[in-house]
Amino acid sequence: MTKLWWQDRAAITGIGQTEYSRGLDRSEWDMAAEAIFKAIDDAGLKPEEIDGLSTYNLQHEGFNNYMHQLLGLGNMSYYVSQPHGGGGYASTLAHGALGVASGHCNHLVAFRARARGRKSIFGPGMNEGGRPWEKVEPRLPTGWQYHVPFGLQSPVQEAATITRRYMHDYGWTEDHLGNVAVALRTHGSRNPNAVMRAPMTLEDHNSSRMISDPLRLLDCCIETDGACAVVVSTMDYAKSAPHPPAVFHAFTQSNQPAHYQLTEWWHSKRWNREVTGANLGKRLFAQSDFKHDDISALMVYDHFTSFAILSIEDLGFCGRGEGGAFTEGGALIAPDGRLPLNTHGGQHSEAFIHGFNNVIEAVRQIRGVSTSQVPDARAVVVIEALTDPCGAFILRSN
Amino acid sequence: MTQTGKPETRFSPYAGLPLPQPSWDNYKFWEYCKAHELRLQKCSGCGELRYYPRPACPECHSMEFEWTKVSGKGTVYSYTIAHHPVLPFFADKVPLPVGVIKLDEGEVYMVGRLMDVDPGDVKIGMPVQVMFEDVAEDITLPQWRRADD
Repeated sequence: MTKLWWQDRAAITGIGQTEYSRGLDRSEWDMAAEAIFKAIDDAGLKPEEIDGLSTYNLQHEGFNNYMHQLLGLGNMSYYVSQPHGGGGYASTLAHGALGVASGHCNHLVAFRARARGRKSIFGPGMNEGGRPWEKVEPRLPTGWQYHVPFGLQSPVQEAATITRRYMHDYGWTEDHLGNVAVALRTHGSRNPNAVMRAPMTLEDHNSSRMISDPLRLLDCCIETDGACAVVVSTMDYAKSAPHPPAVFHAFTQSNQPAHYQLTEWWHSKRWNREVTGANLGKRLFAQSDFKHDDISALMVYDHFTSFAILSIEDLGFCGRGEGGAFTEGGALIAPDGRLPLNTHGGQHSEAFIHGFNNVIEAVRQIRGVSTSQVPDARAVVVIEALTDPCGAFILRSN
Repeated sequence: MTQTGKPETRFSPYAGLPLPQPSWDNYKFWEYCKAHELRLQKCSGCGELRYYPRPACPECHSMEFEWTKVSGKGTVYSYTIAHHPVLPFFADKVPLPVGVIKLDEGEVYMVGRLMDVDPGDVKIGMPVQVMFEDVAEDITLPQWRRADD
């Protein structure tokens, strides 16, 4: 075990969220403000006591980096920002927690707000509501120029090519993908916050509309409006906070190729993702007091079902190529499954907040208040999108 | 580098297709495509081919390279059949087969449409040959057709 000095020195003391919906007629700024104030209140603090801020730097309305001034938070002593979308939510929080653990600040806010519902479009720009890829410019200056003109116009189509090759190489089946979808909806159906609550069967999955073969409608996350925020505090404060702390225990990142870099994804030497993915899991558990069997629940970035399976493999819960079979027999369903997955319903059923709602659910498991509670949950793994440079952390009870 | 950036004319059959904006790093690639040549950067240090264009070799870190003509032959490494057209341009083109093509020269992967292929016939390992689709005054896209017919 390679213990690092910052481990167990910061904890999530507050969580906050808005209503989740396909359209709330609200700005991302407005939703973020509500979630942030709720999280601060949940932590037993006042806005003036916040002295650290961790933000995403991708796809926002331009307010993120000034939220401390716009909301009248405290005297800031620590800022940090993290790129990527689904590949940013764990790291946004983790870099903030590192700032708290190292004494740069006492109480830090991290948050994410999304207005991705079509009803929420308020302008023609990519970041003016709705799905960014439906509003691309006539000329593409970024890496999108190597995908979009050729027909890979959005993440689902890129993810479909990745999924296809894994199904070919490892024998993952449609049922394996469906097992993930059913587990997510089972959890969503128990969660009053979830946008999608109607029960779903494996047959429903396998007969749902093909979006980008082999990915069907029920392999895809939803698009919603909403915001989440958390407060990370020093352990000194966390021990006397109103709610049991979710302690920041282990964290690492790795250089996965992005979904819009399929030129790199399969290269056998350069950034070989089979190796970088497995190394992420090895490094995470090398820091951890907990072994795989000790993990109460797993929160993954479930933009598409296949990446939940790949996350299970990369983290080392099973061997390479064994993730499909791992999903069988209700293994991913709380409370009795071997590895309950996204017990809030994830980005498929609860809401699409770029994964940040996964952090809130991990805290709920540690607090013992999830609607799909795992008995005596002591350690929860949170991993962000494998289709970006990717991070993962472990939260533990105190 | 030619200054570009104009949207394609609305009278073109390619109106509505988002196009590459060439940059200082990649305009040679797009210029060769315009001349119907598939040329990739070949590292002068270690001989590795690379795509998409970039200033340094990810294998040996040399910043010296030549634009080398490649065979344009490859195989389908993976693919999808897009049934949901995200952009209006593709609405009348679904089901749309798109491949991740592995070039015969080695570890080079390119994304391109599989042209004139029945979606039901696409298979991993299928041999393909590059073809060039002129879509705008300044832009030609390298696409792929079956090479086993």
